[in-house]
Amino acid sequence: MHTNALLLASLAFVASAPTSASSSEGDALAIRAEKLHVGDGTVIENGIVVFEAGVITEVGKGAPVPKGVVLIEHAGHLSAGLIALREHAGAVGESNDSTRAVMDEADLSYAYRPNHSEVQGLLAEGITTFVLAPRPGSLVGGLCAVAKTGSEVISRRAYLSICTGANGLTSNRFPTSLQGSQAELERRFSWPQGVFATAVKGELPVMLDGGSSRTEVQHAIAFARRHGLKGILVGSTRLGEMAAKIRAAGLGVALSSYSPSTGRRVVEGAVALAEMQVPFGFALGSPNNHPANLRLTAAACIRGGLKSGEALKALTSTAARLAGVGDKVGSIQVGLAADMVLWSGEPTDPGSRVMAVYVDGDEVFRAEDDENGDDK
Amino acid sequence: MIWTSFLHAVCLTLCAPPLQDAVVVEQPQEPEAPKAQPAVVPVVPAADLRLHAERVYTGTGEILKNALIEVRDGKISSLRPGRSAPEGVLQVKAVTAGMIDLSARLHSNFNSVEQSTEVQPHLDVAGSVDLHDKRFARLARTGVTTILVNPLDRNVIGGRGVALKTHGPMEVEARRLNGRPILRGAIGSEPSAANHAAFGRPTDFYSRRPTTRMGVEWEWRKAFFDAVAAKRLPEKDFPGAEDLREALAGKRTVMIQAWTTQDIRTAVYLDEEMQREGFGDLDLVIDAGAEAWKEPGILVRNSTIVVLPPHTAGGRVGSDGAFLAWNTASLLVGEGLTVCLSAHGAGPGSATLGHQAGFAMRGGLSFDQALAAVTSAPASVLGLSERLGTVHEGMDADLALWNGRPFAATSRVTGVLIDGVIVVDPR
Repeated sequence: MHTNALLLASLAFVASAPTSASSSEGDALAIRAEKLHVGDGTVIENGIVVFEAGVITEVGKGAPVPKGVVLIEHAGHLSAGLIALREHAGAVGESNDSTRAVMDEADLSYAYRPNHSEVQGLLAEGITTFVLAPRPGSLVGGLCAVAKTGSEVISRRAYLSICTGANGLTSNRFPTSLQGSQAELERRFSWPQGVFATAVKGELPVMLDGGSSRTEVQHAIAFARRHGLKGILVGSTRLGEMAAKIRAAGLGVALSSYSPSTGRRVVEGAVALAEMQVPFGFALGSPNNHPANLRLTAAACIRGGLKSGEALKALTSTAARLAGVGDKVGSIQVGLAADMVLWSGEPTDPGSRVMAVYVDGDEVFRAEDDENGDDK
Repeated sequence: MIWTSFLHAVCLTLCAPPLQDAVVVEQPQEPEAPKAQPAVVPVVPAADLRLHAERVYTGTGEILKNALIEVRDGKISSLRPGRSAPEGVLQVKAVTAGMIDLSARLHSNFNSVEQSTEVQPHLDVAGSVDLHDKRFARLARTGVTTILVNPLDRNVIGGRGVALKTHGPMEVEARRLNGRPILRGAIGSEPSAANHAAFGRPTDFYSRRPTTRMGVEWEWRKAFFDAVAAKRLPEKDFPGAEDLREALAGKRTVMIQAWTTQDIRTAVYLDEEMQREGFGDLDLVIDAGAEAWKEPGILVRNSTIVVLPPHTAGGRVGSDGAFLAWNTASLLVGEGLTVCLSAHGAGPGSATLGHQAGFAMRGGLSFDQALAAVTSAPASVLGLSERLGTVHEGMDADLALWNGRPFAATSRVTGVLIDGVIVVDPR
């Protein structure tokens, strides 16, 4: 790897491949990247980020690096860790309780296994935070958790997961029909108790899986409007077609993963949502989808006309805000967690590789062949 | 396909008289208004659409020749026969009211029936209708402008049906036609098809009654008895009880699918039992009543309306192998019964509702009777006769435009208007 020879740090630790670096025990660390993506759309050339005890303490082009702090030179890009909205890694068999259609108090944080191989697999793709959501199959699947990849749960009430469409139906328990599902949800939200009351007050966002068809999505949007719900729509490749209605309802979107069969809709949807200024992030849905799909979907959207900066925001800061954790993760800002990815190039370029990943200041992943100094 | 062609051929030879008509209302040309009339010329807004038809089959026995139809705000604002076609106006051979199919079956299959219990009178199928389903547009192309959508017949009492135009706003509530409410259910083998006895299989809610026709009949009676009991004992109330009481009070039409003789009997006997018990009198419509021809007497004595399923070459229809004869519609109408025809939602390229009318004519139905069976009779069942089913001033501008005599084997629907909008342009 090409290494910048200029060093400003008092301790000249010149290395592109430190064997291990950590700030979590109180040792501060600094990284200078050729391009530092803050997360709000701005890019700082030769930007420095300093972090200590897992939290970012300084950011800027000439950010002062305290005496004695190791400065890592990164000949590439740096961004906040990516965020996957609606994810099932490590909890596929545990994230949907099929015995009852309405599991309003089910807490997804109890399904989270930080050391599961599927969770670890997310890190290799630069995903440092994800929303652990129930798999579809229930009307009300439970309370989504926001988890740091391989680490702590940082929110246990990110969303109340609701399927208003056919995804919530099963053939062997109530409801088996859309009209049955609608009647039940109307009842729960018209005379709300517990988490439903909290959601109706706007204090608990909902993750609305309307189903895949346009009609189901229409129903979902109408349902959210009728009950004054805040949150995001998921589960359809048709969401972009309804950008105006989604905006009018004040909802956000988690876009489905790109696939060859539905790719055009996802891509055009992202462009339409960006034009209508509807906040959106990307759902992943691993392990059914490979973790790489998160960034490849964003890249496909860029190919279809989405601005690169918009795509990166959707992968980081907007996703964090939609998940209610924008004050903790999603941007390279002072006071936020030191969750970062060092990239070989532009983060949204599918040709770029993840060189290293930091979660709470700990280096949790490093590309193996980087040790050879060969990034091609 | 072979037999379909055969049917066409039969129709061509047997039931396609040339374009000459029994009743022709010729009206004299109105004199031209004097040209220069200053000051008080009434300002009549231009029609949204005008079309000229060689013949308009109004649906009340009349045939208007060379009629000029004007449409404004989705309604027929003017209908004047004996006019020459103004230049540039849409010209067609023949016009009938848009056809109405009471058994179009454009539900969303198993997503449209709540099987967790057998009796769901309170659930409205509207929630599961997918207006983006291409079948709506396909049906519109065949000249069917209004349909009744019912739940899939896997419940004993499936719930409320919804009447919809086949074109219009893309939201069900905006498109819903508020006529007479329909309560849909079924008698026969279909409601019990998925149920089974408890032993030997994993327990689920399909381990239940009914597993037989007897069980289906028992569920119907129990539902009505329970609804009546719940009126006196509020603690016995259940979802849908009010719908059932409304049905007993005749405020809700009860449409029951019953293909075979025994199932038609069961439906009528159920109604008669309700009357004997003093519970009420069901306004009964038998859907898919293929074998109604075997015992028309019981239908006559109960004033039951029959919706016939689509004809087949061999006559066997439905999962129970009921036999529908070519002359069934003719025979029932001859008995004084009201008959509606259905194509069960068949789109272009198959035996459409227009074809069904032609087939029924082959079986002896007159043109006017056949036209009524696909327009005014179903409009009446839906309680929408004031708006739909005939071609008159003030009616919804739902029109089927034909390139020849309607229902003739050589004719087809070439244009369609729904609420005054050209959904299929014949030009």
